[in-house]
Amino acid sequence: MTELNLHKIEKKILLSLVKHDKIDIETLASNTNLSLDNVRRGIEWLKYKGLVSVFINKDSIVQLVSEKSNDGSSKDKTDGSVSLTLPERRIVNSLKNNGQNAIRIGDLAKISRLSNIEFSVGIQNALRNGWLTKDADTMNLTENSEKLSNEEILLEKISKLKKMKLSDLTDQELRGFNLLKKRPGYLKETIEKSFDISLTNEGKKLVPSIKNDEQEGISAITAEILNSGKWKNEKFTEIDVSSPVRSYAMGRTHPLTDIINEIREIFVSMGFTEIEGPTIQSCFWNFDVLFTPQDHPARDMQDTFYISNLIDEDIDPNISKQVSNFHAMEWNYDWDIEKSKQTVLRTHTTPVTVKYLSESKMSEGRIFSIGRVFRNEKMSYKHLMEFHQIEGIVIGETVNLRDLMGLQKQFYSKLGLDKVKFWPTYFPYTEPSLQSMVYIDKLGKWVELFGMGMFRPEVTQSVGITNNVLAWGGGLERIAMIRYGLDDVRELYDNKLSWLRIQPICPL
Amino acid sequence: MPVVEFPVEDINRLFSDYDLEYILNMLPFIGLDLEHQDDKNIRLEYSPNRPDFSTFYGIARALNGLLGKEMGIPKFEIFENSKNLINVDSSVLEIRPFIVGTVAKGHQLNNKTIKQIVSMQEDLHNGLGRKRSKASIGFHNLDNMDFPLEYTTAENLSFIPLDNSSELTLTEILSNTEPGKKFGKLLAESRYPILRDSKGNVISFPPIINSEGTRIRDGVNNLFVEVTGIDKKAVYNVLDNIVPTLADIGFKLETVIIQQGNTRDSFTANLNTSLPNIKTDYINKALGLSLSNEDIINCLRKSRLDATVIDSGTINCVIPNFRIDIFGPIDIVEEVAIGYGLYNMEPSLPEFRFYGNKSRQNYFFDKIRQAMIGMGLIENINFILSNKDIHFKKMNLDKPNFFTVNNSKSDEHDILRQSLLPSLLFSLSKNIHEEYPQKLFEIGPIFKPEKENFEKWNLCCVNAFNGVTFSEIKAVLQTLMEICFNVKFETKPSENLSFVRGRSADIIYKGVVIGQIGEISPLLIDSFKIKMPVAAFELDLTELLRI
Repeated sequence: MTELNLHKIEKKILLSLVKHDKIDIETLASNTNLSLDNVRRGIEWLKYKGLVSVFINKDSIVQLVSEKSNDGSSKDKTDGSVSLTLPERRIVNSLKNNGQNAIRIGDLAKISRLSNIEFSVGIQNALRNGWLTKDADTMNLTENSEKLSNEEILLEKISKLKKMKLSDLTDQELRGFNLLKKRPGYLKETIEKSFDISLTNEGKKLVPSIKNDEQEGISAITAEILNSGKWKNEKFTEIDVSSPVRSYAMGRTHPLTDIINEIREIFVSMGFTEIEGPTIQSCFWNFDVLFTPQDHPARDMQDTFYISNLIDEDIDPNISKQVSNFHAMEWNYDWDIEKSKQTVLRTHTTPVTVKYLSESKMSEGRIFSIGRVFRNEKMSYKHLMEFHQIEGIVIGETVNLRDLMGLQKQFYSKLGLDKVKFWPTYFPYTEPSLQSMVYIDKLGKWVELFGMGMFRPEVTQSVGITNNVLAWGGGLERIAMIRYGLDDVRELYDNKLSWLRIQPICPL
Repeated sequence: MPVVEFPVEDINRLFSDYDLEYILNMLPFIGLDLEHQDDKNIRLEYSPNRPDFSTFYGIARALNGLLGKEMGIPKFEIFENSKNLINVDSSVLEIRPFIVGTVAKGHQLNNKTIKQIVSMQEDLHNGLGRKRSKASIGFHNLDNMDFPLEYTTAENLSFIPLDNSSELTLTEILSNTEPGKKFGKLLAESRYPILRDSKGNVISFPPIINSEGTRIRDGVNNLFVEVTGIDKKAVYNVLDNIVPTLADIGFKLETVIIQQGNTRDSFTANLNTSLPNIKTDYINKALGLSLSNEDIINCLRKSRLDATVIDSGTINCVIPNFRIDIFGPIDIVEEVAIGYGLYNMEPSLPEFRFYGNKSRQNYFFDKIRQAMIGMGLIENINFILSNKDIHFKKMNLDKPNFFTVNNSKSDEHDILRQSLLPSLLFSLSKNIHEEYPQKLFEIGPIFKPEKENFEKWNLCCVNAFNGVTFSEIKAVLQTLMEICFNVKFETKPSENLSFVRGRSADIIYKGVVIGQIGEISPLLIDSFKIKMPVAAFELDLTELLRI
C-alpha cells in the first residue's frame, strides 16, 4: 500500500486519526472538514484496506421524550406533550404570582390549575425539595424554592444538549435522572451505536509517508480574488483532477425522434421531398385503390382497427370507377363503394402516398413519408399495435427494378448497412415485389428490413399516373431496436427516465 | 402467412444432386421464407397468392424450374371417363351452385402423403376458399362410393359424419359438431346442400363435413375429390391447385362430368390459359435489362410457364390455371425476374436530379424540440392508442369524447387520445422512483371526434418537482414562444378540471385560445399517484402555425 493509492478523503482521515487514539465519526468530520457521508465512505474504504479499525460502542443515551429519536419516531413539542416546567415548580410559581407565602392546600390546588394527579405529585416533590413546608392543611413557601431541583438541573442541560450519554452525567444529574425516569413524559433512555475509529498498525506505518493535502494557496478562484489582484502574489492549490463528478441532468429528444430525423436526413440527401397525410383513412385509400380486394384477410377486424365515425370524403368518381372495374375484372366480384367508405386507422403510409400521386399527377420525382401506422395485434416483445413506418417513392419514365434495388442499397449504406440481399415476395399493390435483408454486424446475422416493389398498373392507372412508380418501406422500430440494443420493442414507448437519461444521442 | 411443413428427406431424395444447404439458399428466390429447420423437418412461409406452394410437390415444381432441371408448364394427362358423373339438382343452385371434381386412381396413400393433402386442403380452405365461404373441398375414398352422384339439397336426413360413430341429422351436425358450429353460419336455415352416391348414401355435407364412410386413410388407392362453392372462379381455382399435386403424388387422373339440366361440363377442359401478347420492350424496361426474346422465354420456362415468340418484339405466354397470382403483363415481368434469378440482377441508380426537403411542419417541430431540450426537458413518445382509464377516469373528466376503435385486441389501447397531458402524467407516475426534477414534453397528433380538423398536433409539457409553480411553467412557455417565434401571448384565467382552481389559464394568441396552462389539480396527482407537485401546459401547434 502506498500513499498514491489513497483518495484525498482517505488521506485527510488518516492524518486526522494520528492525533487521537480513537475518535468518533462526528468529531472526525468536524476535524477534517468533510461531510459525514464522505467520512463514512472514507472509513469504509480504509477499513477494507486494513488501515483503520472500527469499534462499535453501544451507549445508553438520555434525551427528552419530545426529542426526535434516531428512528424518527417522536412526539413533537407542539403536539401537546408534557411541559418542561415540572408541576412542583408550577405550584410554587402560582403561589408566588399570587403574592402569598402561605395558603390552604385546597386553594393552592385551585390557583395552580393542575390536574388532580399532577397536583398531588407536585405537592409531594415540592415538600421533598423543601420548597414548601406543611402546617396542618396550610402550605408555607420557603427560601429553598429559589433553588433548582436536581431534576430541573438535568432537564435544563438536556434540553440544551438534546441528548447526553448516561455515563457522562454528574452525580447530581444522575440523582435527578433516577427520580425523573420514574415520571412518565420527561426522559427516555435509548441505546445508540457509536463508532470509535483508530489507526491499525499498518495504518500507523503508512501515515508518515502521506503528504498533507492541505496546501497553501488560493483554492477557489473568485471574482474578488481576480479583481483585487490577490492572485498575483499567491499560488493556486492543486486539485484532484481524477475525482468523480456528477453528470448534468440534460434535456434530450427521444431516441426514436433521433432515428426518425436521421432517416429523414438520408431521404433528403437522396433528393426526396417529405409529404404528410391523415392518420385516419377511408378503406378506399387504405385498401381499395391499392388493389386489395374487399374480402382480403388483411381487411378483417382481426387485423385492422376500424372506427365507427365515418369521415366525409368525396372520391373522384373517375377513380372509383377504375377501381371498381379492376376489382370486378381481376378479383372477380362486385366491388361495393359503401365498404370502401368504412374508416380505419391507416395500416400503412401508402394511402398518403397514393392520394398525393392522385392529386399531383406527377410524372417524375422522389417523395417520402414517415408516420404512424396501426395493426390490430396483441402487443408483445416483437409486435406493437402502433408503430412508425417509412416509405420512399420514385416516379419516372425510365425507372426500373434494378434502380429500386440500387436506391435501396444506397439508402441502407447511408444507415451504415452495406450487405444487402433481395428476394421476391408478395404485396397486393406492387409487382414485381421484393423483400430485402441486411447483415447486422452487431447481431452477426441477416435481418429482414424493408419491403419494396413497383406499383401495379391497376394502382397507377386508377390515380392517373402513367410512369413507373418504385416504392419501398417498412417499420422503423426494428432499426431503433438494433441501434439501441433492445430485445423488447415496447421499451421504445415506455418513457422510462432511467432509460431515456442514459441513451447515447449518437450511438456508435 | 400460411406455412408448409415437410421432411428434410423429401429434399434430399428429390434433389440428391445438390447440397441441402444450396437448396435451402435457393428457396427464398422463389419467394419462400425459411421459418424453421431441424434435423427432421423444414417449415416454410409462403405468400397466400401462391396456393400451389401449399405442398412440397408444388415447391419442388418451382425449384426444378429455377435449377433448370424441368422447365415449362408441368405436363400431366387427364383421362376421360364418362362413368364419373355428378347430377346437379336445380334446388342447390340458390344455395351453393357450383361443383367440380376429379378422380385420382392407382396410388397407395400413406400417412405422410395424407398429411400433405390435409395441410393443402386446410390452406386452400382458408385462402382461396376464404374460410370455406367461397369454396370448400372434400376428399373421399372412391372405393366406398358409387357414381353417378347427386348434388342436391335436403331439409333433414342423417348420416355418420367424419370422426363420429353414429348417425346424426343435418341439424344435429350443425349444432353438436365442431365444424358445424364453426361453419354453420355460412348456410341459410332449412335447406342444406348434400352430395350423395347412387345408393343414396350421403358422402358430403358441404361446406361442413364429409361422411365417415368415405374417409381417406393409410392404404387407400383411389380418390374422389369434390369442390363446391358459391364463387365459380374460386371453386375452379381450388381444383386447379389440387389436380397437379395429385398428379405429382403419382395418381392417374380422370375427369368428372357435371350434368345440370341439359348442360354437361368438365373441369379438365382448360388446364392452361393463354395471355394476351406481351411486348418484350415492356419487360426489359420494367426490369432495367436488355434480354433477347429467347432469354425471356427461357426465364419464363424456368418459372414453369410456357412462351413463344410472336414477332421480333412480341411474345405470347401460357400459364397454368393454378397460378392465380398472374393477372397480366406486369406479373409476367416478375416471372421473368424470378427465372432470371434476382441474385443475377445488378443494382443500378436512376438519374439523379432532384432537390429534397423535409416538410414545413417537421421543420417547425424540430425547432420546438430544440428549444424544449435547451430548457432541460426530456422528450417522451407515447402511443396514440390509449384507454379511458388514463384519458378519462384518472383525468376526472365529466364526459368521454373520443374516437373509439372497434374490436381492439387490447383493452389498454382502444381509444385515440384527444390530448397529450394524460399520457405525460402517466409517464410521471411510472417514474416516481427516478430523480427529480422531472421535466417532460411530447409533440404528437391528437384526435377529437369532430367533423373537421379532427387530427391536430399538440405540444405538451409537464414539470414535476417539489416547489414547482405556475410561474415556473409559464416561464417555459414564454421562453418557447419568444425563442421559437418571437411572439407574445396572453394567459387569461379559466376553469379547467385538470388544474387547481385559480391557478389555470387559457393560452391566447391573436385572440384565439390555443392551449391551457396551470398547476395540476391534487385530485389528478392523487389518481395518477405522482406524489409530487406538477405544473403543465398543452398547446395546439396546428392552430399556432396556422394563425
